[in-house]
Amino acid sequence: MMKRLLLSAVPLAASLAVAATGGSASAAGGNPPVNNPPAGGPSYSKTVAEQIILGGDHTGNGYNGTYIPPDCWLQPYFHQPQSYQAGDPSSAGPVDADSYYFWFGRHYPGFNHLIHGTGGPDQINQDFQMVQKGQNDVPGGPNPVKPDFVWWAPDWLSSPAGWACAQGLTANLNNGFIDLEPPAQPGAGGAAGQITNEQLAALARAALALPGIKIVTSPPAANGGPTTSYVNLPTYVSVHFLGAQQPSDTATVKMADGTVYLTATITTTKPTVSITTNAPADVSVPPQSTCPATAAGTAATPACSVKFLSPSSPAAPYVITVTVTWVVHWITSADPVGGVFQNPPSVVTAQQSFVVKEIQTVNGG
Amino acid sequence: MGKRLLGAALAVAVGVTVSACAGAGPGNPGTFVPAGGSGQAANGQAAPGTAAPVPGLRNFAFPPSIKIVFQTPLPAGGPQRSAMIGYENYIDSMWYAVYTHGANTAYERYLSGNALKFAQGEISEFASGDYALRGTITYYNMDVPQVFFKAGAVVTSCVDASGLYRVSARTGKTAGTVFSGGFSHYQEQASAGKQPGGLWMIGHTANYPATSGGSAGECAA
Repeated sequence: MMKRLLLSAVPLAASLAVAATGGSASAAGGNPPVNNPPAGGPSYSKTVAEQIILGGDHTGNGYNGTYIPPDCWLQPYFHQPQSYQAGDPSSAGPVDADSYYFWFGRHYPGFNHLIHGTGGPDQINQDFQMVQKGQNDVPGGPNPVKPDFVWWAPDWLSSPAGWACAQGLTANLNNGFIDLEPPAQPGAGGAAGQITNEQLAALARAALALPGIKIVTSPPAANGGPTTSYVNLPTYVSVHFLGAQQPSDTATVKMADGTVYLTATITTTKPTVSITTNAPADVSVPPQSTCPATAAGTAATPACSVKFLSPSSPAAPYVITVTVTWVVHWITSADPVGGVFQNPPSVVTAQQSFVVKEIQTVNGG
Repeated sequence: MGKRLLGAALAVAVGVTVSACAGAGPGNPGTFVPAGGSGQAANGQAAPGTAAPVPGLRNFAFPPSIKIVFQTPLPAGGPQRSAMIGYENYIDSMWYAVYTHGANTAYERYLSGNALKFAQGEISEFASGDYALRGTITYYNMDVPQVFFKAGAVVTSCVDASGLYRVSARTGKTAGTVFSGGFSHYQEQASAGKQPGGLWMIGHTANYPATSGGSAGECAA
């Protein structure tokens, strides 16, 4: 690990333009800024540096904190040959390590105070140039710096914990906003904070979009209202999935040159279904707990059913709750065995109300 | 569950810090007047008869008409204590800059990122001198629930801003509370980071009205 490669940041930090970091300053109304979901809710809109690439059945609006993704991590951005090029820092954005350094300081000024040193932009450029040449000016450090050395940089969730975690991470980096490390086994987690298999898998799981479900009954419900049923007659219950029945997604860490460093893949088993009700009733679900899925507009089939044992009162229809549960597996490109997420379970629920009547027979004799 | 601070008397509780000093004009720290807390003089020296200065904790010479109250004692040590000191410095320095109509810029040492933008917004509303700050703002149920890599931490605090007003500098009449209704009580979640010199700075904040529920619900009046 190189020590104190870049010596120069405070004056630079002071000179960097202060840019908004996603939060809004107090407006004329005088309210404090509100940047995240209400009450620190469990959904994060994105990773802040936006360097995790999602694919498959993933949520469009972020990560679900219920599944405890990591708050922050380091991921590899550049190999040693992408340390510096003439004209850096580039106005085209973070195209190499040098440009990334300046880009990061402009985009996330809240981190500028964390870096050390007393030099200026020229000094920073010189240091990146040295690494580009394979040189290391730190006595005792790896020398030469080989092409497979990697520049690591932070990414984090857009939550207070994410920002704090990234600040802690950045304060421990040797080179300001970025860190040079020897090559590491993808996903193994080397120096403090480097992304692990489990962390990337957790991000993929937190982004997995489980489908909504709709309860289909036979006899059918009337226009989204309650289903009318009768005592001691079975009502068939099926599930219509409003998306992939077995969703899967991926999360990928790519380096700036397109090299895939690590990919996590999330798959789900065929879901199991349970039915509960607040009514006196017999619920019938197959032993394997797989009520059949139905296509939109088709009727429920007999495999799963509810037989109510008494009528409902006019003011209080009965309610059934259908719970669909998936077992979620993960693997990564570096860990093909992976594992199974334990808790909390991946579930989706829906409810349907029932007006249950008694069949009145008239003896005409 | 937080209790509203009912008066300066409660501030004598061990560890409670009240940034209320007397005698200074805007941008001009004055003589520290004990307010019952564990404060220190604005010049960093302990005032006679007060507790020893808390290393790293900066005090600002507010007039008696402005009280910035921290009800929760500082953590005993470690990153939690340092992060909380960083948070109190952020709060004190921001309100002192507001009080001085932007003349005092010490806040720039203690906050950055969107926290700095927030402070600049508040300061700008008083910069013209048309309004003055008056009243009490209380920070309670303060905590450092998470520390990362010994150099980053989340600081949470309930805030009772219902008693902090802007008043007309010309007439002395109240022109409303500093924050509008939804934020009379709110929770602030601040992200703090350790600077190379050892002080902690606030780099990001998020605020949730007490009425939004969740953990912010603990801040309800």
